[in-house]
Amino acid sequence: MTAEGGIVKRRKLGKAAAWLGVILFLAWLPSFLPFSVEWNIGSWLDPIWLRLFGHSSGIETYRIDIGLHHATLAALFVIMAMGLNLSIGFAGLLDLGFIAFVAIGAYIMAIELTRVPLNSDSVRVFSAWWAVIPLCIFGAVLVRVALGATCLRLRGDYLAIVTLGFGEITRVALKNDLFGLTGGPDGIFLSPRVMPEFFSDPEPLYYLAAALALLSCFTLYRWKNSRAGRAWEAVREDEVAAAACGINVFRAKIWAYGLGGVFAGLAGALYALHNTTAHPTDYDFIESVKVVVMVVLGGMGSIAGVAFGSVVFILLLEVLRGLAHYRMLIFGATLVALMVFRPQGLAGRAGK
Amino acid sequence: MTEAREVVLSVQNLTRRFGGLVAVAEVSFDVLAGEIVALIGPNGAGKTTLFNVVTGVYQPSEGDVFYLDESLADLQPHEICRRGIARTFQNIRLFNGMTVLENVMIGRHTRTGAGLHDALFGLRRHRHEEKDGRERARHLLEFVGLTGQEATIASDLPYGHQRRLEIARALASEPKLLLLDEPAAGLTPAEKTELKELIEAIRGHGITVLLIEHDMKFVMGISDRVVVLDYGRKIAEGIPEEIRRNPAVIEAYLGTGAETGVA
Ligand SMILES: Nc1ncnc2c1ncn2[C@@H]1O[C@H](COP(=O)(O)OP(=O)(O)OP(=O)(O)O)[C@@H](O)[C@H]1O
Ligand SMILES: [Mg+2]
Repeated sequence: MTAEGGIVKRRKLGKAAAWLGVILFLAWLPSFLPFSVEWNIGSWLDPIWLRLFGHSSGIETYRIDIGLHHATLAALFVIMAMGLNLSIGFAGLLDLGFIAFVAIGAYIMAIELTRVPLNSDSVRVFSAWWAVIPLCIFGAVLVRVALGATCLRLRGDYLAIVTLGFGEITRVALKNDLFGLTGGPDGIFLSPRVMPEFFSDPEPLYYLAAALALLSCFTLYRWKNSRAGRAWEAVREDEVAAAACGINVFRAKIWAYGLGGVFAGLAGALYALHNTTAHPTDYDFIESVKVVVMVVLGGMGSIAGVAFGSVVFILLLEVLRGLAHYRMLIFGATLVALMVFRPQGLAGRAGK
Repeated sequence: MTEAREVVLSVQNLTRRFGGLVAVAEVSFDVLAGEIVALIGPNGAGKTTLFNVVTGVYQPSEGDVFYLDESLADLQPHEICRRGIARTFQNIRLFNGMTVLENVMIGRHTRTGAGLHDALFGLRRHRHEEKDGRERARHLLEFVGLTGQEATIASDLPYGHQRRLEIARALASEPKLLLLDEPAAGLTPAEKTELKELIEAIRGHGITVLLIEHDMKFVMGISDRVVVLDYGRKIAEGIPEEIRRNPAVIEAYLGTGAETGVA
């Protein structure tokens, strides 16, 4: 008994140390960025047929440039991935339109920031940007619950199709100046005069995003080992058996799906500040796919795995940027290899 | 012998159709508190369908089912579980990717109530229910003979153990009535003996049992009463000795050519 207690205590200490390590790493990360290297690779990247005919693609140096804004971006994607992890990872609801809810958060933030009238110096002084965040969250959750209420009774593939469609509809609606509020194809630009003073340096946004990403992970971690978390997983594993165990399957799904909106709205609000714009092309289908890949890559339902997967994914995109259009080729191949050799993801539980 | 015992489950004139097929036809019977009742019949007789109607998976086409005098017809499966009916499935339905302990803890869903905020902030209710739930789950695993398997992934368990885990999960909801759909199917003779003891121990805890089973020796050895279905109809009901000698039952089984050992 005491030996077991000792092991538990040591494990707890180990966990605390790991968390502390992550926090310290995040705190000091800005001092290591930007990180930039450059290699001369000659014509190494040129495909053989180009070289055979004496042509060259002109890519002779390989650069890796990673700035603080990439770290911020990674943190924002961790928040999104946690939200989607609730749907896909926990409750098994395949959502292919997640980015639409991020867009809702982003647009609410942008609309609110630009709505405040200019003062006499023709500057908008709106310091209460943080007060908009709950509104962004509320908007995303509201739409998500409404969509969920109509389509969560659908099973598997149908849900994926409906959410995919919803994502596209949202993007097109935003692009077509929905309600005359979303600025059409140009989106809403947050000029330096509109941007909250707090974000004139990139660091505060980074720290905010990193802290909220950690908080998101913590929240999911707590939920995973709880009554509700187990109920979600039960629904994912077998709806009939879950219902027979007294779980209200539809209600569990609505909660998992709706709560994903909290993370989407939050990430969206910060994403607008990060991009200094809310622009329809930032909410393409491919962005939804990215978040899905992060969740699947990390191992559905596993929190550390998904967080790690998201960061790796974002950084890898930057590292591979020098490959130009080969980037997606390599990416696709990597994903295929991963799904073949580790279908449960980097940190997922093995088994069926 | 059965005088003045509470009627736990009352199936009344129950019919369930699937399109033109009548899976259960005008079946009526009662299950009394503390009984072990067996529901038998050839393949396709409608036994599982009857379970599914009782547990709310299907609605009755006609007739009704009463649990402690309350109609179950309009209730959903999770509401029925909450009232005290738990079940297992013919083709074992565990939460395969989850551990044995988690499976049993999910069974406690209706007996717990910690919300998301309780879990997020680690409030007392959450902490208490987790600790209490783990303890009770361990006890149940011990009760069904799965001690030491807490951390095993459910799908990694051998078949016989999966059956027991399903029973433990059902018991975790603290039911008054337990429905077992072919619990002995695929078990070795030794495992069947253990299962018989387990079911008797369950009854010993005051839980009423209604079970479906094909193994006649098992059925005759364990049940107080037997209800026989054939093509959806109830063709006989009575104590095992009567059923064994009932010509209609013998006819139904011999008609299918099944080797039942009834005669
Ligand atoms: N969902 C359904 N849709 C259509 N027909 C069904 C459905 N469920 C059951 N049936 C039919 O109802 C009849 C009774 O099936 P049921 O599964 O209740 O039989 P059973 O007595 O449990 O048989 P077994 O001993 O093989 O388990 C069968 O003919 C079956 O094909
Ligand atoms: Mg059956």
